[in-house]
Amino acid sequence: MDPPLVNDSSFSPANPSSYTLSEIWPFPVNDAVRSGLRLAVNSSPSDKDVSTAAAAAAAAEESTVTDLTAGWGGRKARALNSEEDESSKMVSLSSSGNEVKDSGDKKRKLCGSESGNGDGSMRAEGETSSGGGSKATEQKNKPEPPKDYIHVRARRGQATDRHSLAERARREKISEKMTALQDIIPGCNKIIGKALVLDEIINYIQSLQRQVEFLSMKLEVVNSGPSTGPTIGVFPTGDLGTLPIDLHRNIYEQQQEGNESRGSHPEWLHMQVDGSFNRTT
Amino acid sequence: MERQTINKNKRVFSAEPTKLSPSEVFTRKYTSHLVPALKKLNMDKNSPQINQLTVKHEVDMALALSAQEFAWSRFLLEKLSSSNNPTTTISSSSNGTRIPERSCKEDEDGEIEEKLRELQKLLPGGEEMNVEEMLIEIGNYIKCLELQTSALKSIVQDTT
Repeated sequence: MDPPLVNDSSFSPANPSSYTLSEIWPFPVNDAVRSGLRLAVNSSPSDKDVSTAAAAAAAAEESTVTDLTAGWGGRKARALNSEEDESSKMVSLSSSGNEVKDSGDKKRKLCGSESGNGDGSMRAEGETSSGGGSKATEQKNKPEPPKDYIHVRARRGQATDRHSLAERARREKISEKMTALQDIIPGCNKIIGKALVLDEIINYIQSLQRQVEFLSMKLEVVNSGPSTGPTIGVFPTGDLGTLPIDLHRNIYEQQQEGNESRGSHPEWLHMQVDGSFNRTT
Repeated sequence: MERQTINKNKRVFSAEPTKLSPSEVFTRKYTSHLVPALKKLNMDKNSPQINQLTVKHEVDMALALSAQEFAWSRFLLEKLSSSNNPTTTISSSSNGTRIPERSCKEDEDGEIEEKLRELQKLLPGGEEMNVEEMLIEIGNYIKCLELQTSALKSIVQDTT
């Protein structure tokens, strides 16, 4: 767990002396866009005190939310106070499902995180961040009365009506996902800025698709060549792990029958028969 | 995956099922779809119909079939099965709804919107999803594309 530290870059506290440890969030290290789905569960002190202490604390909480969007929204990096009487709602995105940091499986990560991130009813508990392993450093949450909806903190000077709050929550979710994407695309970690990241993603996808097309052209050539079907010596199992080697052998090459007779695979035999038939014609 | 040590009479493979990572699962499914299809194509070689599009079609079909847990694969399947002309997944997309640019937004936002739209075009079925979903699906799609590329590479390498 990270020690609480005040990140000066994110705000300038109005009145440092009025801090109490219980009110301060530990500040996230605000630099690199770390992989997404960070959650700041902001538990607020009671809304009543609008004093500078609350302001500072609110500012502290703000910067955690700022960190959510990882610096894209430059406008958020300020010491902001919530509206005074307005019940400031808070962004609490539960981290419970979001194990982005488990880089075990990127595919599942995205699916799972979304499913874990139930939309309407998330409990804004203090410890929701303990989805475990989220490297986000802002997770010192104060306990908080559990609520049932998404709380979005309204910032100073920004409208607090329902629509913009929803809009803001939506935007933040989008940025989360974009940081998640940044992890997948090689070389995207360094890039800051939504537009550039999106550019990279587009380029990457296009190049992947072109590669697929090129490879399929090549495959076509190979497939329809007159004397295709060379002996397959070694099947490159490098990154393909446990591939069904027998399939390939059967199709292109019938010399090595039965070396690995794997139990009963009726289709396997079937294909082999077919293949041999093909060869003779 | 642990080999049980020793006696030659004992079995050498572990009794537990091998745990496959999803990438492996996908790759396995993909090759098991693609390779028989290619073989079938090969068998029908006599018909003059074989051309590049057909192989590409099979390639895409295999991709869609192997990734059925994702939304984009359903769209891809539809596209492939509905049209006899396999629309390639590569640009040249004549996908319908083009969302008009909102000129009232600031430039930066407009750019981002535009790029998001472009992304949507790249992803099969992307235009019918909203942005959040699309971003998630894009991640999966990219991963599957990568796996597909490496699978294709090995197949091609094998036969040359």
